[in-house]
Amino acid sequence: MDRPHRPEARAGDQHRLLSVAAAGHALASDFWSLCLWRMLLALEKHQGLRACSRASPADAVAPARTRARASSVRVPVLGAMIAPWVVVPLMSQIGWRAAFVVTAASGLCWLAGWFLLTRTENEALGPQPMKLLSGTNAGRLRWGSFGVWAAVLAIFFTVPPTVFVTYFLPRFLETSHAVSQQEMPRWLWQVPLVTDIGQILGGLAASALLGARLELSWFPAGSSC
Amino acid sequence: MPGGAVAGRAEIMKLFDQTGDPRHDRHERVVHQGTFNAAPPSAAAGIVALQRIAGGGPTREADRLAESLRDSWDKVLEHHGIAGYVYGPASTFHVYFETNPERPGRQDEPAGTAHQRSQAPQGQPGTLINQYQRHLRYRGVDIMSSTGGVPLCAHTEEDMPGPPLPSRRRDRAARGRADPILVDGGCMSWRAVGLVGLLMLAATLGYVDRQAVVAVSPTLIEEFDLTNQMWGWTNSAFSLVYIFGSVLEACGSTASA
Repeated sequence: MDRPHRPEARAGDQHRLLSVAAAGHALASDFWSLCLWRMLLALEKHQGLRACSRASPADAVAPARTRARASSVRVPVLGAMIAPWVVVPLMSQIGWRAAFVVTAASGLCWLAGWFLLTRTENEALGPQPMKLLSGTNAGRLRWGSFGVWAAVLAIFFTVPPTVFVTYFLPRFLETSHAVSQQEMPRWLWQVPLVTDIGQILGGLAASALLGARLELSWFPAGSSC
Repeated sequence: MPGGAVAGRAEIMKLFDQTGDPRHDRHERVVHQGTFNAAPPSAAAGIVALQRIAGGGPTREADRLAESLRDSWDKVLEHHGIAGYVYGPASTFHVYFETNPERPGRQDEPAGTAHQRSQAPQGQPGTLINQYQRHLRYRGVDIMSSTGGVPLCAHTEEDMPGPPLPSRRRDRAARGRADPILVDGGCMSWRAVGLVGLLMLAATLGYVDRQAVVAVSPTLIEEFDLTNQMWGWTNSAFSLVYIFGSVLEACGSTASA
């Protein structure tokens, strides 16, 4: 019998470290220290968020045939949409350094909830969702496969424009349209919204294509004799 | 091409004959045609098998296994509230799924009536049978016939399904192990909902952490006196570590896979 899985160690540690790096932005004092904290955040983010987002309903609980469609309903972009609405008012009230600490501290609340739900061994979960969480089920990446390079090319051409617009939109709004810091949230949430819509449509299209292919390979069933 | 012949006393061989009498030919005649029926190895195996079952032991064992299978399977249907029953004489079993909601339910049914009703079961939809067979094959069982089968004396208790799990909790556990979908009667359990909700929240909080710097960027740029190039490099620092960290991890996963 498979042993019940207790995922709190890895997922919890990653989120705690992620929050520490995010809170560390409050200590930035110049260009170089800001770069340092951004790098530390990325160092943990590529693991922590991957574990969390991969274990979204799509991968953890959705049947294989609907996984592409379910993947489109992931919610990370929701964080990008609400971030300006949360951070800017906080900054106005308590300053930008404290705003970083408060938003990062929300991870501790999350950690408390995670601990409550996973403090006991949970045999009903089984190994598969927890494998997704722990990241131990990483599939073998075949660098020569068409799918890998198709994904790399798609990311190469689509992510840079999105990142550029996301990071430089506040600068553009401020210098070209005299939008104040307090007015910024009204505009900043729209980029991730459009990104998410594209992601949903892409997920639906991928699901439709995947479904059609699976139907073709579905073995014919019937009485043998 | 091997060849063979089946020979025997006239009164026995007559059992194979078609007489033209529809009742005899359909219900009384012994059917003997088959691809390997007269091949020497089949004939030799048949002789040995007949010698072994002459004492009745293997037949009784097959009957006992079939009875055990019918009983266990029927309990599984009852346990899951599936309208249907398992029946069959000797070493056979047939599974009947009720698809007509107007027929009486089985809860108030006196013992024994299931078999009586089975004498004239309504036809089961072909799609249902296909799905049933498909799911059995997925679990390594090919019954080769509509919904029934024939346990043999070669089968053992290990080949037979066990009784339904005693508690609903264990039932959920078994399904959770067998399937990544954490469901309870078609719905996710409250715990699965909570975990999925927390994971979604974690992803959301992660992006808040990541995008907070964008929201306060005008202030940061002014306070640290950053040029456009420096601001670009600040975010490139994040992206470069993110990209190379992911690639290194993917390589690590590939190496350890």
